[in-house]
This record gives sequence, structure tokens and C-alpha cells, in this order.
Amino acid sequence: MAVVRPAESLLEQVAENALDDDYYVVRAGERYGQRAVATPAVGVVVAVLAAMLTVTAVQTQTDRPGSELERRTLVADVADRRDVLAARQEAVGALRQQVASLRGGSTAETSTDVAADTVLAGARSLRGTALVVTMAGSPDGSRAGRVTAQDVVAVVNGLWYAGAEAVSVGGQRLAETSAISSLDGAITVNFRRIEVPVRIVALGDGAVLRSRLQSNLAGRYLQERAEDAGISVGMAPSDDEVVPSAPEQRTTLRRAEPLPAADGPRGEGRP
Amino acid sequence: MIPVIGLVVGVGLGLFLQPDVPLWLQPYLPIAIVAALDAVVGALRALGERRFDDRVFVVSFISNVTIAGFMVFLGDQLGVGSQLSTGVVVVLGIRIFANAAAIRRRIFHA
Repeated sequence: MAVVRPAESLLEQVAENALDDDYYVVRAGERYGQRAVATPAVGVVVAVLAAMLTVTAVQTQTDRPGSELERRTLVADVADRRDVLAARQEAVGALRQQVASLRGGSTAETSTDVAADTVLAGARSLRGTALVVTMAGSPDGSRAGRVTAQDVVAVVNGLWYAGAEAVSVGGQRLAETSAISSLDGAITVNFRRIEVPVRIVALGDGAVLRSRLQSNLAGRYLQERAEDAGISVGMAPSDDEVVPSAPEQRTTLRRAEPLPAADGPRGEGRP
Repeated sequence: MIPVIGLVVGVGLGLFLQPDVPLWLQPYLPIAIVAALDAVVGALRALGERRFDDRVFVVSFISNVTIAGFMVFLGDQLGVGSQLSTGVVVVLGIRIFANAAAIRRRIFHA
């Protein structure tokens, strides 16, 4: 065996001693095998090898249609799912558009019912004759003389009672879910801070609203507040006032669903 | 002539009988074939170098197939079946290539 240099790595060793040493050993030593290729033992071994190869090849061949079918099914599945996804996305786009057009309220196909409802719900700005109530704290700046959220609530209730059709406080429209509250001593409407003096606009017949407000409970409350704490209240009918729309969050219902108008129970109230 | 007859008989047996390889034997058959191919290529090289010996061929064939199968079996038992199979295939592959290169050199002097 002609070894030029000793193999260094394992792989080199494997490559250099690729031929079984026994072939060389036989060559060097005495003969105990047969040189001839055509011996029965060789034939049997070749037959075994050929059989193994054929069997494996046949087996792989017969297995292939199964795996091929599986693969094709998977590919078809993927394509199907993609189609479904595309269709769903398209549907999402269409539905979004539909929702937007329904929300818009001003599109031609919106029914008059919806338009009227958005007006009532405070989602649209309104204009008309009005009563403007202005409330300011007492000039001496005393703690008791400040305008409180309670005062505003009293006036707003009085205005509704007097027949106001839409009310805004400090530019904030009162809608379905509006709240008047106090935060850190300041008045908030629709969770926005309101400046003093508070300007309350109530749409309706200004003169009628004023006389009704002055004569009802809220009017007497205001009179008391003016006398005791010195807050000043101004009431001025106006021919042209604008009440803005309420913020979107205040006119959007997420959970509540309307009942059909014919079936829904109707509350009783003062006309 | 006898090897050619053996080849024909083996292929014929495989084709006509088409035995289903039992499931437990399936992982070993490909490795056994690679090991057998190594023995065959080695025998061809020895043939070319005029040192072929049928006894060495038969023994190396049987031992190659047995040892390769046993290593895969052992690997399966140890949980490294695929890695050990890869190792066996790499080593046998190198041997096959080296022997084939030697044959090529002998025939083409290149």
C-alpha cells in the first residue's frame, strides 16, 4: 500500500483506506480465496444486493402516489384557504364601507328615520332661536360664590323642563350619554373642562323658555343662589344660535341595541 | 457470468415477488443498501487492481450491511437514529467516492 503521508483527519483516513485492507492482505500472504469473479458466493451476494435495491425502489415507487396525493391535497388546501382569506378581506372592505356610509348619515340612501335619530341623539349640529343663559361666579371670588356643576345641572334640568329642544353647555352639546360633573373644582361636560362664565344655549322659543325657566324649580334655585352666594345669572333670548354636535364617543352606542319602534315599550312623560 | 446471472435473478425476484418491506425493517434497508454499494464499489476497484478475492468481498458485504444496520438500530434505541444514519452515510459515501476515484484513475489515467 503506497502511503504518501499519514492521514491527518478522520475523513482523510476514511478516504485513504477506502479499500478494505483484506484485499491487500490476501495479496501479500498466501492465497486462501479464489481470484475468479465468477463464483457462486459472488453471484449470491450480487443477487441479494439486486433484490434489496429492487425491493426498495419498488416500495418507494408504490409509496410515492400516496405522498404525492398528500402533497397535492395540501397545496390545494393552501390555495383554498388563500381564496377564503381574500374573500373575507373583500367582505371586510365592503362592510367597512357600508358602516361608513351608514354612519355618515348624509348619504342619499340613509333613511329619514336615521337622520332624525342622529339629530335627536346629538350627532348633528342644530341652529335656531334660543335662550342663552350665562352664569358667572360672585365678584368677590368667595368659595361659596363659585358656579358649581350642581348649578349647571339645575339650570339644564330646568331648561329641559321648560321645553328646550337641544342644549349645549360651554359649547359642549348634551347628548344621550353626556355627563355634567366637577373635576378638581372645575365643571366638565362630556369630560371636557368648561370655562366660567358658563354659557348655556337652549334651542327653542327664547322668550317662552325664559319665562318657564324662571317660574319652575330651577328658576327659584337660581334666584336663591344669586341672593345667597352672589352668582350672577343672565338670560337672553336669541334669534339665531348654533348648538354644535356632540363628540362622537357620546353618540356611539357599543352594547345597547334598539328594539323595533312598534314593539318597544314607550316611557310616559310630560308632553 | 455468474454475477450477471445473480444480478438478473435478484432484480427478477424483487420485481416478481414485490415483498412488502416490514415496517420495522424500513429504516435499515436504505442504509444497508449504501453499505452494500460500498462493498461492491470496493470489489470493483480490487477487481481492477487484480487483487479481487471473492471471500473478502462476501465477508465485507455481509459485515458492512450488518454493522450499518446495527448502528442505525443502536441509534434508534439511543434516540440519535437520524444523526447516526447520517454519519454512516457520510463515511460510506466518502469510501464509495474514494474507490470510484481510484477506478476512474485506473481506467482513464486521470
